[in-house]
Amino acid sequence: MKKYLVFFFIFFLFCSKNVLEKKYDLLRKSLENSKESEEKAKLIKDFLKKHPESSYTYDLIFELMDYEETKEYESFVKDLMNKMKKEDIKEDLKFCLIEFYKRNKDKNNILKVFNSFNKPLKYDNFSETIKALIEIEDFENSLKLLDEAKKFCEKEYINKEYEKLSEEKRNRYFKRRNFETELFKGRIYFGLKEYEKSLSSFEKAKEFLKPSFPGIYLYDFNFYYALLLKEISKKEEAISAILPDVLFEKNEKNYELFEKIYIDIYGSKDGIEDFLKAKKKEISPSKIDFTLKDYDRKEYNFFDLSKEKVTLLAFWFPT
Amino acid sequence: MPQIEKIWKELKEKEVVFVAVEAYQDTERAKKLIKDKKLSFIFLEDELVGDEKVYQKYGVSAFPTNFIFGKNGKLISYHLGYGDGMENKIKEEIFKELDEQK
Repeated sequence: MKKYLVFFFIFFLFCSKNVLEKKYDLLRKSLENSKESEEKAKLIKDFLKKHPESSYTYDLIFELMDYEETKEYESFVKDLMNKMKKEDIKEDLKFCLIEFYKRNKDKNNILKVFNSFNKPLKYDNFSETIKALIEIEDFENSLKLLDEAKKFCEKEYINKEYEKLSEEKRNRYFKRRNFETELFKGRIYFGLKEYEKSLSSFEKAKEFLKPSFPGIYLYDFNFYYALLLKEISKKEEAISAILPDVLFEKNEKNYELFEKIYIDIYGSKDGIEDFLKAKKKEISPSKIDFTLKDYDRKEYNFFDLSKEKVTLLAFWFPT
Repeated sequence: MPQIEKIWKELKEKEVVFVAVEAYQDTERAKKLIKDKKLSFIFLEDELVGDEKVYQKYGVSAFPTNFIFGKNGKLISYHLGYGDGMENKIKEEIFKELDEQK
């Protein structure tokens, strides 16, 4: 008898999971079909009222912000959090609130959320808060928090939880965090118009992490670096700094800055597309060869595999 | 990875190859994920070659990172993470490259 119960229970879990997935797909379709922000907000809220604690919660709350940038959003999220039992989802939603307060340039509430994070703090609690504070130009608080973040990183490096990670992962986190905190410092001093300090922080950041092989650094580093170089009239250097991002990681933000620097140098937008095409030919790096095994221990050579083919090379790890 | 699989299914009849390299040699979990999600392109496991792994040679410091190369072996684009619309962007870029080479 017990066996049957267990079986039914598992069956029930299986079904309920699929039902939620299907409901989510339906929601996505309805969102695509509706044009008004108000209507979209209502659809998302209705879904969240019925399923407050699923794996979709964070993304939906984030999305909701685009349709409802008002106080209503704040009270909805807070209500939802109060009803939640799962601490990890609740913690994640605090990041949504930080984003929301950032958009409203509300530094006091950003700091309030920061103080509400569960202890012991995590590095992300610092970094997301600092990022938001920098963006609303609260350099005083961001600098203060940055100091705390650095102390935190030093302590965490000798922390037990952290020690469980493999040496390789630990090193990468360590380098990445040092890189990011220096980048923050560079951005803060840039905001404070202390350009020399800013430049030295950016250069220090580069010592911690090498760029991906097209020359792109993490966290939009090249964008902020180019912004500074432009400001201190190193225009040619600014163009070289932002080019890899414009050519290979196309987004509007990078392109806009590139366009500004280009106009600064050449007086107008004339020839900008040809310039980019020529540069792409010039600096586009070639594949690097390697030979690795698959999970049946069979060897593959990358160049043989990808010869004369359009190739997608994906680096990943299972989470 | 499931997003990449979706693109692969649409494109696999064309002059295209998809190669995934798992960086941390987390063999068991990688194998399970590949099986569970029915991932069907080429999955390799990274290892030290000299003093660096392949992902380090490519300067990858966050995951997932995707590179797209043209038929001539030159880089077309670089994608970090799975942002909004990345799936479509990748598809578009590959189709564009396939068209240009005709």
